[in-house]
Order: sequence, then structure tokens, then C-alpha cells
Amino acid sequence: MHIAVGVKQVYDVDQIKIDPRTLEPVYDVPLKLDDLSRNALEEAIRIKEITGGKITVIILNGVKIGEAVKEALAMGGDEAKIILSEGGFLDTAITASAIAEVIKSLKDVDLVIFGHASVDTYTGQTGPRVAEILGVPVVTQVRELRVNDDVLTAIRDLEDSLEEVEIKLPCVITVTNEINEPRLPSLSQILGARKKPVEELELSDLGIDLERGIEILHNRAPRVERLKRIYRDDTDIAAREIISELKKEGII
Amino acid sequence: MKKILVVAEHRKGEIRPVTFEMLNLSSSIPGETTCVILGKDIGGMAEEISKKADRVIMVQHDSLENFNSELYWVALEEIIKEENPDIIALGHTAMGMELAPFISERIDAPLATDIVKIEEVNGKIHVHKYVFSNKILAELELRDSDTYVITIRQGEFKEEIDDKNGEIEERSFTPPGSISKRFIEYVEPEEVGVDISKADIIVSVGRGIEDEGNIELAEELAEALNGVVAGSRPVIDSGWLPKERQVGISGKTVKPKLYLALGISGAFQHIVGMKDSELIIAINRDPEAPIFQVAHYGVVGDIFDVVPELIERLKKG
Ligand SMILES: Cc1cc2nc3c(=O)[nH]c(=O)nc-3n(C[C@H](O)[C@H](O)[C@H](O)COP(=O)(O)OP(=O)(O)OC[C@H]3O[C@@H](n4cnc5c(N)ncnc54)[C@H](O)[C@@H]3O)c2cc1C
Repeated sequence: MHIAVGVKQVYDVDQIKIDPRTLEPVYDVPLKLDDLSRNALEEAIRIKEITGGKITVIILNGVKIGEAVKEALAMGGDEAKIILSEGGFLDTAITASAIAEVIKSLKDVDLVIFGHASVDTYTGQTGPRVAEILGVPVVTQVRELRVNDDVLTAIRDLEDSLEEVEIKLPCVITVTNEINEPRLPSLSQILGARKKPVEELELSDLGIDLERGIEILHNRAPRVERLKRIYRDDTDIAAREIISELKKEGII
Repeated sequence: MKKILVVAEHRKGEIRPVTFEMLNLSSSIPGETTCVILGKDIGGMAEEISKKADRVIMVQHDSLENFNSELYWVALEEIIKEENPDIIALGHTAMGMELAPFISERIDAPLATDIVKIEEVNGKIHVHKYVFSNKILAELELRDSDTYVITIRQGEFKEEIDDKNGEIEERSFTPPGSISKRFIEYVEPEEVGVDISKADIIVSVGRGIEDEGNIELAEELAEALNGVVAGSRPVIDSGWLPKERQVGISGKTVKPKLYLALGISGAFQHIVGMKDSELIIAINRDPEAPIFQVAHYGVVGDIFDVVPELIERLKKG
């Protein structure tokens, strides 16, 4: 089975700080392979362990994607296609068209796996869009997947329950973090990754309309209106005042 | 006046609340709402929806009983073409998130997902949505287009509109000959034990609790406060607390007098389930954690320092 995995590199949002004056995020934080991209890749590796075949990692980004690609190959990707852009924000419609073009050029892809959304922009659009462009069905938010020949059985997350669906290959799947525990590559895998084939493509060569979708006007931390009090340093004072507040409110 | 086409969401014979929240959009963007409902035996639901929509289009067929993005699209395509709406709204839900990108791609319309606000500014559509793990609120402008597609975050568009009395039209549907996707069944988690939705005081733990053994600390605090312990989804998925203790979109909605969030980041799926609590206190070591956006009191600190301190003081009385 030939599996394509779309991965994304994102800012480590856990480390993002906010400039208190402008309320804008400060971007001097490391980049990393998005968590759900790891889950997508892990699922591909597990499937390949059963069915055999090949895993192609596809990534689109403006800057410094070297590390994310190396990590994806170390985990178990067999080859990588990097789509280079000039940087700046790209609407998901553009990202999806580019990834779909690469998948089409690979010709024999049976299954495409993505994370269901990325931690930075959280649009959740790439998987279903790629499915539409390729003309294949999609199942999103999958937390359990079984492969029987050319049919997949997926347990999918609904808000208040789960749903079991069956889908024929070729298709697109997007996964949630419950689906697996991504592996950490060993040192020899990290070293071995260097020898794996990596091809670079230019976004502008793929023949895609780059003026689509959405423009960002600004990114700012929301103003917090509800918060009456925030304690930052002294846990002793915090504990004392919280308890006196609970007493005042008649809770204890 | 904009033409707003709302795709209704229902499951097991019940309309999902997000449907009515989408119909409330006409209070943000002056417009006329047409609600499309697809399914089987949906007459009663269409009736209910018509009280809040200007028009209802109902499509009934056995194959539409449960959501299937493949079939739903076929049923919607014709309606979208005929109606030519300015805005197509879906929920930012398991259903909407699977369908909206598909529609956007098909009709080549800009799509904004998970929005919490929409407005028209100088003839342009602007939307607000959270990015970077809910820490940042982005304002986005959609490029000019005949049609826009949006998915709305649940629990955000609550400003109710006046009653309407929309007409219900029925349309027919012929499913395509071959389909590659099939619904099998709903898988329900079993439920027994404590009903957290009735508790007055909840001590809720998130991934910050680190380890199953540390749940005891939360239990001790809950006992001192006369409350119960609940948790975020990762805690439940790890098996540290039973499923019926989960707070959030795929768990319970709670409105206790006190909700104490320990090491919970505040993902929207969690917030939806607890934001109407009377008093929310959050303890988290990340000062930018989005849980502080809904908290009344926040402590930036380590739960393993603050919680023992609280327990000690409570015990002293
Ligand atoms: C379809 C779907 C449905 C979902 N439904 C739900 C749902 O019903 N309920 C739900 O909760 N989630 C749900 N989720 C998951 C949700 O998106 C988040 O992943 C989840 O809520 C995160 O849980 P958390 O806050 O415990 O963990 P994290 O996001 O990992 O946050 C842990 C927090 O703990 C803090 N922390 C760590 N150590 C310490 C310490 N020692 N002291 C103080 N703070 C510390 C960190 O700063 C961080 O903010 C759903 C997701 C999907 C896709």
C-alpha cells in the first residue's frame, strides 16, 4: 500500500507569549512537527507494518522545514516531498491544492492521512479539501482504524458519541490524538533518515491560484473581561484569598 | 439583506443546538435564513426549525438517515445551486467540519471555520476565530466572492432571534448508484456512577495532573470542599477517571457553583462544557493558557504547590 501523509510544521504554541502592550503574539519560539501530524504518521507506519508498502511524507512551508522533515523520515517515512513557498500566510485552499497536485503526480497513492486540524490555525480543512480535489471519499476525526484489504473501518468522533463507518480505498482519513501514541525515533533511525530521498518542489510551479480564500487582518490576544483577579507569584497569598472568597460566596 | 443557508444538524431524532445558533446568525448579519434539513422521518424537526427560520427545505430519504458526507453533498449540491446563497453556514462539528471544506472546494467559495463572530465591514465579510491553541483571537477578511462558507463554534451565537414562521418545502432526492462510504452504527460509551452535572462543587483535573497516582490529590481537595472530581478528555482517555466524569463537548455540560480547573489548558471542546459555572477558578502554570479567559480567579502556578496549600487551609477551617 502506498500511503501519503500530509504533515505540518508549526510554532510551538505552548511557548508562545503575548506582548502585553500590543496584545500580539511574540513569534520567537521554536518550530516543531505538529502533534497531530505525528499521529497521522504513526498510523501510516502501523498500517505499513501490516500491509507493507511505502510512506511518502508531504509538507508545505515557507521557512526552515529541514527539522520537521528529518523527524518525519526518522519516525518511518520512506521519502519526502517538500513544497517550498515564499512564506507568509497561505489559505488552506491553496495548501490543499498543492498537496493534492503532489499526490496526483505520485499516481499510485491508496491512502492519504492527515491530522484532523493543526494546533496553530485550527482550520481542519486540508484533509476534506484534498479528498474533494482527488475525487475520493473522506472520513474525519478518526480515533480507531482497521484495514481489511481495500476497505477501512473507522471509529469517528462525534460530539456526544462515536460512529463506526466503512470506507473504500482510495480515500482520505484525518486522525485525532486518541488514535495512537506516536513513537520516538531511535538514534539509528535519525541517522538513517539522512539517506532517504527528499524532493523539493516550488509552489509557484504547481499551477495553483494563489489569490484565494482568506486574509488575516490581525492576530491579538483576546481581552479578558471576566477575570477579577489573577495571582502570579505567591501561592500562599493565592490560597488564602481564594479560600476567603469561597467563604464570602457561601461555597464553604 | 443576505441570503443565509443553514445546514441543520440532528442526531437520533433530535435537533442539535448548533442548528438554532446558526439561525441566530441573522442577528449578526441582517439576512433571510433558509434552513436545509436532510434525513429520514424529519417532519417534526422541520416543524420545530420553522419557528426560527424564514424558510425550511426538507429532503427525506432512507439513505439520509445518518450523516454521510458523500450523500449529504449530493443532496445539497442542487439546493445550493438553486438557492445561490450569500452565506452557507454549518456547525464546527464532526459533521460540519467534514462537509464545509468539501462545499468550499466544489463551489470555489472562501471558507472560514470555527468562527466566533461575523460582521460586515465596508461591504466585506469579517470573521473572528481563535488560533494558536485558543490563545489568540484572529480577525480575518474573506476575499470578495458570491458565496461564503462558514462553520460556527458551538455555544457562541446565543443571542436569540424573534420567532418566525417559515414555510416548509419538501424536495426529492435520488441517491447515486454507487457510494464508497457507509454508516455502520453509533458506538455509545457505557454510563454508570456519579452524575457530575448535578454537583455543586467540581474539582476538575487536566493533563497537568501528569499521572494517575496524582488524582488522589484532586480527590483530597474535592473532599475538603465537599465536591466531586471530574476531568478533561485526555484524563478520561488515559483511564484515570471514568467516562461519566468527562466535562466538555463529548462529555457532560456542568453548571456548578464552583468549578476548579487544575492543569486544564482550556480547549474550546472543554470550555463549552463548563463556562456557565457560577464561579470558575483556574490553576495553570502557563500564564497564557486560554482557561484564564473564562476564569473568574486565576492562579499562575504549579498545581502541586497550590493544591496542597489549599487543602491544608481548608482542613484548618
Ligand atoms: C471531537 C473532539 C471532542 C473533544 N471533546 C472534549 C471534551 O469533551 N472534553 C475535553 O476536555 N476535551 C475534549 N477534546 C479534547 C480537547 O481538544 C483538548 O485536547 C483537551 O481538552 C485538552 O485537555 P487538557 O487541558 O487536560 O490538556 P492540555 O491541553 O495538555 O493542557 C494541560 C495544561 O496543564 C498545564 N499544566 C501542566 N502541568 C502543570 C502543573 N504542574 N501545574 C499547573 N498547570 C500545569 C499546562 O500549562 C496546560 O495548560 C475533544 C477533542 C475533539 C477533537
